[in-house]
Amino acid sequence: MKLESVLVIGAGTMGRGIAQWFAQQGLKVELLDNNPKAIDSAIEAVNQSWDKLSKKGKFSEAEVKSFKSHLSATNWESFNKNCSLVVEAIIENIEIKNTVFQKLDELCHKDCILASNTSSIPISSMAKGLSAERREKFLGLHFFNPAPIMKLVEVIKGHWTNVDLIAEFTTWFETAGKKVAVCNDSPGFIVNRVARNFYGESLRITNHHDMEKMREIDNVLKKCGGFKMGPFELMDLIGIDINYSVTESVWHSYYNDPRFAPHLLQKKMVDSGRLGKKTKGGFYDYE
Amino acid sequence: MTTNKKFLVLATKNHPLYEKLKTLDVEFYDLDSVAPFEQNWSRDYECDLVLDFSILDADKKMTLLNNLNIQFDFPIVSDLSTYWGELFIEKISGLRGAVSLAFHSPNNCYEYYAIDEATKSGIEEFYKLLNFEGVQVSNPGIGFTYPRVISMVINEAFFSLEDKLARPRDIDTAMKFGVNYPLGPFEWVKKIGPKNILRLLETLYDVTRDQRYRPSQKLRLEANL
Repeated sequence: MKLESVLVIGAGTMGRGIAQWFAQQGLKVELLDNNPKAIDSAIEAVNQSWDKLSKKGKFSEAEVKSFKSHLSATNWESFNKNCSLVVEAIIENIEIKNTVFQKLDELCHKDCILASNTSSIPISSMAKGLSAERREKFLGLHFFNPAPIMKLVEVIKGHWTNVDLIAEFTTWFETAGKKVAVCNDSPGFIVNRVARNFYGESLRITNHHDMEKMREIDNVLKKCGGFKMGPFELMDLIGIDINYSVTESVWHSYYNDPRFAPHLLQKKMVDSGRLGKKTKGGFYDYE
Repeated sequence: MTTNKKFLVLATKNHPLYEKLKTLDVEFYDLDSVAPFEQNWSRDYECDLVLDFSILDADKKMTLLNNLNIQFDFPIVSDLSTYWGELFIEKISGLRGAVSLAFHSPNNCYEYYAIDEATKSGIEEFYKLLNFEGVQVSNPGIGFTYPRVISMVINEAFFSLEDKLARPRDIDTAMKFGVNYPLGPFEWVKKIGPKNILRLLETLYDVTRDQRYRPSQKLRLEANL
């Protein structure tokens, strides 16, 4: 498989990270967002990141110059319709995503591969509104934040995805230094499903907001389990509301299976507005 | 490493550390061949700590610990990794502490619970003999913290296999490189042993009657192979 150019849709944290990583692989990357200011700010942030990495000696000045020349802003009228791949990284809303993909299906060259960076929406539900030919070229490419650093890409096979395409992407990403986990189209895919009980079980061990107990659990899981962060400090970093929303989504997708049930403490935290570091208070205080 | 403390160590062969425990310079009894209450202990037998590393059904474990409690005046510490530790501690007066050595730690660091300072210092000294670090916890709960959390993560990985979500190696890769786990769930299960994970999940289910602890059929299969 030869990828030459990528269109990344969505200039938020994930979109800009994905765009940065593809540009570092020598691909021509266009970044598109309905908000032009968001694109400018994303490109500026990526450029600053490259400058910092250059100062740290991670990349040479020549490399950074080349990366910068590979990344550009675009819009719906002028984007390259012959690009090899489109990666969508917009809001997790199926109606909005479907509108975007149906538009891309109409506008893009027939060989263009369409991919979603969704973490929770079934791939096949986005593919079903596309032309029969395009459905075979539709898959999930789930990157992890920060995309230029985190090695994993979940490569997700939808109902119609051509199996050869999955194999080709696996090889392509591995050659580019990523670690690939291939999976079928199922709620939460691998990581967001299997990791649920890292949080869920820890919440059940403490059962209520007891900061000393939470500190003990975080400490045990780091020291004994070898985890980089404990569940409570990690939820505070991610945002308790974000974590709660993913938990609810996976739980509902599995017809409220108790294995995935959210814990009342999560809801209490969200209702009280204590969402983690971003509100200067979550399971722990950050004032 | 040597110690001034006198430890009496009892273990069943199914404990993952059985072979390592046997090599320690301590008094060691294989519970599969000699029941301690059948042993003819002399009246002047002295030790600082009796350490039980048996893995048995919960009622047999309770009987064993009750018998040890009758037999010895010395403090007893038991590996309660797969048991409702809180209940055992409440019911057996001589049980002064609990450890969780049945669940492999990637950092060789293990939780323990101690009621008093003497038991704490005994456990810490024993951990040193094994070259392990310890973390004291406020309550052994049901299967401590790390065994309980990792068992639930591993159980879900087995459910994912049942659903044909992905291959074990893809699941391991995803967890190691997506969320920085030190081991993938299937690498972890090889280190801990599926039987211990199943045993803890069954304990959690028995105590709570919550369906969330239902073990995966694939895990059951693996544990019974």
